[in-house]
Amino acid sequence: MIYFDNSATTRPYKEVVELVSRLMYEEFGNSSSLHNLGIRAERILENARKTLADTIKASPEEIIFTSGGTESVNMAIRGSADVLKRYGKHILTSPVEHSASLETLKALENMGFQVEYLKVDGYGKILLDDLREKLRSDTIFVNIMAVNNELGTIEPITEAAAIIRENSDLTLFHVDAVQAYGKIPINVRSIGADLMSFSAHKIHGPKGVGMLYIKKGTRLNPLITGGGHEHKMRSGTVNVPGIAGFALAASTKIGRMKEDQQNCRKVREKLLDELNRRMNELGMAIRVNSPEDGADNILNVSFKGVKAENILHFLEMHDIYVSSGSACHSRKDAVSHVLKAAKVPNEWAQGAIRFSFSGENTEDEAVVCAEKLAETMRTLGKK
Amino acid sequence: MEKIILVRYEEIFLKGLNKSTFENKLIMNIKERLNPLAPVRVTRSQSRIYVEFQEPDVDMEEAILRLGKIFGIASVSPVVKVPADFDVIKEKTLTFIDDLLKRKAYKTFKVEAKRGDKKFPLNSPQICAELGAHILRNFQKLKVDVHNPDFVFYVDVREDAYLYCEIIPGAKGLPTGTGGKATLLLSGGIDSPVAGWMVAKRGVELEAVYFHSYPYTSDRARDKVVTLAEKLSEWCPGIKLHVVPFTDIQLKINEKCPHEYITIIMRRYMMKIAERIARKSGSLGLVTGEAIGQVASQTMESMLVTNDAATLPVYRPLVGMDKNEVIEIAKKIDTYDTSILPYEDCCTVFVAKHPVTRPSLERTREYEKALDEEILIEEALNNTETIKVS
Repeated sequence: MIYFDNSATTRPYKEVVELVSRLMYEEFGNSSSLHNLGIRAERILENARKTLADTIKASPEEIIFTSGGTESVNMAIRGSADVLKRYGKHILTSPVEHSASLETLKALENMGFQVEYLKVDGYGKILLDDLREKLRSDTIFVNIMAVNNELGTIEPITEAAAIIRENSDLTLFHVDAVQAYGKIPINVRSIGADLMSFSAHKIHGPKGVGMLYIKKGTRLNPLITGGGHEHKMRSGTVNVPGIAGFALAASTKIGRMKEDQQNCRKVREKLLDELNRRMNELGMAIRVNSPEDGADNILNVSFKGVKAENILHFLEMHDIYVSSGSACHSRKDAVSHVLKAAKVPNEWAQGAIRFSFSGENTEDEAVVCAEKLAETMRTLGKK
Repeated sequence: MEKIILVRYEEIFLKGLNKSTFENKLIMNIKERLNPLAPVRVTRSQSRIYVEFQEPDVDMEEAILRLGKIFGIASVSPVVKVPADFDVIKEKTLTFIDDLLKRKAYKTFKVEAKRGDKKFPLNSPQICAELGAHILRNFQKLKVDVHNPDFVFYVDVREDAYLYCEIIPGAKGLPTGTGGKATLLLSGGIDSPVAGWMVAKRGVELEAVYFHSYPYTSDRARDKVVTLAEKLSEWCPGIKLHVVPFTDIQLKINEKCPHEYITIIMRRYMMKIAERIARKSGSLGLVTGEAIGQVASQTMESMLVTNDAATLPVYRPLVGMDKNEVIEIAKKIDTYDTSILPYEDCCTVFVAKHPVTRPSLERTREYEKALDEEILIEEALNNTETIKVS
């Protein structure tokens, strides 16, 4: 199997699976229980919180655990809007966000908020001048992702944070760091965002676990109310084994981040070289949609005249797994909003494939993948 | 008091000397469908079927749902069976209504009585009057309303007496297994499951054939068709689904035949393959979800050309229906939500930009000569996977 879909999800590290499994059975106590079993679970939880806080240079009180990236994003957006609605209704976002953000913002729009979209360049990178221009005194919230999930584009979030701070102390800045975590260094102090969302399963942790960084002093209303867990910010019996697995995955991943990313870069380059060479031989062109200075682990390439989903299924026959930038619905071809925002021409956008790597991929896999892709294009391109 | 479900049937009455064949089949189908739920005793008496459960704690709601999907049933009623003695009937009526009022906030009622046993001392109007008065005396909050009552209290006096207040419409049609077998061309769309259901309703058993163009269509599309076959098998159990690998044939057609004819030739190949499968399984006909004029391959000209590829009769129960009428049935039989899932084939690769709407049979036959028909069909049949759906 060649798994080049690591931005969709990753295979959990074996040690993570073992830890989660062991804790589920042996440390099943409810971390809120008053007895000894509960206290033991709570200790595991708080250790995990400390480990995870350290990975982003936050303090443990600034970390809230959630059910994943989508919930973190929802909590950041809805929780802030609820608190800040009396100061203003204006929200800024990049248009290349994950749908967790975009759909949530759309819901806010229906509730009377005004959502404005920032201009981006051909790689989906926001234009800082546009941000400066669009910020208003009643802008309560700005939403920008750290790394784009489809293209790998690294957004200038530190610069954006400074601009936002200049404008007003009121504005909360949320960074969706789901794709950035474990891929580029993240230091919440130097970035200066108020809220950042993270997910475990993108870094070889378990699914169903995420966290939200909430800068000290930031006011937020909870999404989920109940027994008052997580400092009343997120009720519900805490998933202690999953969170411990998250902590182990994160410390492992961040420990090997540099080597992993170097490896990804090599695989990425090999794949691109091989694709260029083989497609050239076939007399077919490709279009690289990812920026050269993007995240090392993502490569988005378009093939012309072919539906991405067809390529995907052909590769799947050879046990090679990738993502398509568009889903073929029965009668309309839905091109990804990211490619649209980056103004990738439609005929290219329809054939966009995203390869996303992990530390476990090899250059040999890249060679095989390029070979099978060329084979696929020879079959499909004829039509 | 015994809890029993009364099952009525209509059309079987018309079957003259074959009537008992139909009745026996229906009884068998009822047993097959209900036995997994709880052991049942199914008896027939005076053109009615009575379903009695052998265990006290039976999920009656589920039993009624299951009966609702058995073809040949006109309606069902959960009934209480009591001895045909008027004093007992009066007493049990009170228990029945007391029980009913605990569940429903009914205020008005009327009584309808039928006397099948003419030896019973009271006639029907007398039973109504006596029981109505008895109910009124005992339930102060209830009033009689003969025109628009909240509920009707039915009393059937036969060898025993049956008390009930619900008549739940059934699936109608004829008992599955009384009408032979047909092979349905099942796609992932809205139409073909409905077509299959309509034929099945007439007592016909089904087999289904799905043409899979992997990797041009994803395995999710195949899963969706399996789900559709499962939903259909709730109405006619034991469907076999044949998944035919179709990619190579499509590629060959695409390569060797004129572009505007690829769809119609593809349809002909589907017919040819379905017919081979049908003949092997003992099917007496093919079923498709085609309706006149719906798409290019469903004009009358196209259907003439498609039909020519099969020698078995092709049943098209939707032929005169509008899309909305089909959707209505699809919703009723619970296939609609599955059908509209977006995993349909994404391959514009095999769809002509301007397919011919008035194909000529001669030309189609001529174009087809470019293909090694026997080899292609053999190959597809050899690699066909058969799934027993349940």
